[in-house]
Amino acid sequence: MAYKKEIDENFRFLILAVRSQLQDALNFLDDTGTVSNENFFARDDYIDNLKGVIETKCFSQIHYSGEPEKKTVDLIKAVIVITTNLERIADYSVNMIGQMHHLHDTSFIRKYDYREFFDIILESVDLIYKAAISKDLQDGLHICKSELTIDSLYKEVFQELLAELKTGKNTEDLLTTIFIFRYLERMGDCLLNVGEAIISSAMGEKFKFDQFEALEESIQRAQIEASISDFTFDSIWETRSGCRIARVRTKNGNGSTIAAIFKEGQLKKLEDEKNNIEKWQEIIPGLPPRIYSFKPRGENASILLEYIDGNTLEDLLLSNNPEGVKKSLGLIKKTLNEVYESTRKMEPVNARPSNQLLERIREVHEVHPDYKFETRQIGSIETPSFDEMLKRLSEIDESIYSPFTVFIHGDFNIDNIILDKNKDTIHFIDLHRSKNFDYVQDISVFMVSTFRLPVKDDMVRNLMNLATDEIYRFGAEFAQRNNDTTFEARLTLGLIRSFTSSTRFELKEEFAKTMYLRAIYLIEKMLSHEGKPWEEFRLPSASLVY
Amino acid sequence: MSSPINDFKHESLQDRESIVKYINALREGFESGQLVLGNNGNRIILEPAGMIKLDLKAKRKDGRIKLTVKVNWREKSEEEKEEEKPLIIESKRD
Repeated sequence: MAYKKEIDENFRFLILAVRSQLQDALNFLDDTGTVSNENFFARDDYIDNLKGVIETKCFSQIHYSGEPEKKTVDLIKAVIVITTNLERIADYSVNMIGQMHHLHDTSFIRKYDYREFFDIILESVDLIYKAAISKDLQDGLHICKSELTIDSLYKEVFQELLAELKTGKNTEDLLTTIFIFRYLERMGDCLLNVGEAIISSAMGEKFKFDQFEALEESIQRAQIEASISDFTFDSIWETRSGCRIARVRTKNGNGSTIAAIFKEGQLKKLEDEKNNIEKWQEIIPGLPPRIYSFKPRGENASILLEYIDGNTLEDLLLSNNPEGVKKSLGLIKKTLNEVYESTRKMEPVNARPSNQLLERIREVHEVHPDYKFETRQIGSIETPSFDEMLKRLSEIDESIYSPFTVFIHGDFNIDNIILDKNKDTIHFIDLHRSKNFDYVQDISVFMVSTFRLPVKDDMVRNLMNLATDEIYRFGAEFAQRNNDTTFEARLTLGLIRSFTSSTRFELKEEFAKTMYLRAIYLIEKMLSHEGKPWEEFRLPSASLVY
Repeated sequence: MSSPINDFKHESLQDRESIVKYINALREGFESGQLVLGNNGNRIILEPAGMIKLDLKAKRKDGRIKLTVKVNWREKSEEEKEEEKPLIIESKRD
């Protein structure tokens, strides 16, 4: 599928028409007497129509042209975004001229420097066609940066106009002038969208200007001998917590490939991750990925990390690789044991898993409203409502402490554990939640993250049951050796939390219910144990087998 | 406030020990002639009587067992209940 010539023609005409519209708006403000009102408004209609035509042609080309080719789709996406924003710029030109009628004296506007705005906008508009078609990264960036310049120019003019407003003279003309400049400032916003569309099309992935800058800086700081344009993006995706992650690759001077993980998101989260990686490096060097660079930017930050070539435990399970799974489990147990022994502090801690659940229960009920049941009666049996059950559970877990803390992963999902390519070491990733805490948190998250893989294949399920069971036994043995007598009760609380909260990501009703009913079963077991010592509580192990 | 309902559904996970409680609760209902099922105070009251049909089905497939117990009966109408009231003849004393 190739980008069609007729779209190209319409696109070029659109850019020319928007350029003329801007030029006319400038002439109007300059009062050159060369602008025909009729032409000006007719051109606005023409631009509206062109926009519609381009959109229709673009969508139908993507839809009807057989196998879509990614680079053509990327270009067409950029053309659609650019078209929308150019049409908006043309509208702002009309709006701006509409404001001129409110001035008592049209020469009033000429006291202020609007020409510089127009110079920058026209210069960017002139770059658009070539930048879009040849996917020129540098031109795309140049167009993005014009927004920054326009913003600072606007700030200056705005301050000047505000100061004059305070004198109380010409207030109406001053207000109208602010409105006119505001349209120029908005044109800058449109140009930013245009520039980002060009960058995204050049990189083959959606990119915001500041994210792109963050990546560029990260690469420079990491002192990898390559520039950003040498990088390829294998994948980029939005995570649940709003952090953007991409795997980037390039070749260095001697021809070997360097791969890295680039993350961009909230400062706090990435700062935590950086600090935790450093702590993990001290405990077991090489367990976490190496940090190539870290760069805070206002409320956001970016981090460039070593890419670990291997398979996550989740990959190994799903691909039914018993050898890899068993190797990983052995290494995980050995690693956890080492970490737990070396970081154990005799300070009691209460993870309060039922409070963690209370924080997420709203999201669960949004996806599965019927999970919020009321009191029920079956003959002489009466069961409490869901809310009542959670309340009682929370009272129970208030009293159950782990006798010590260890340094835990904090998000010990099976997709955060990687067996490296040579199969002799494991690595932990996604470490922003690591802290000194109850190790049962990690054990329970691990067990449920295995259970919740939506797999029915018996062979894979057996392997998953094996993984769950091994980690459970590891935890139970560690508890016994360390005189932790309430391990089973705390594990059950953790499983209740994870089973219930996992349903918020599971839209397959049957499988969600499988987890939810297990949680309710475990809650009922705990409630019926109330009054007896928690040291005697045993996790019904059948509840973990699917 | 409780109001009558015509449908009731319950789904839960049990083990061999805990399921006996539920079976006993159902047994008590049949014995006493009244089984109350309720949800948030809304109740369905069942009064098993007369001929009761029992369907029992068991199925084993890929190691998963399904045992279905189905009980059917016809409820008496108010009129029939009225007719069943014993006839009481009281003598008049002058």
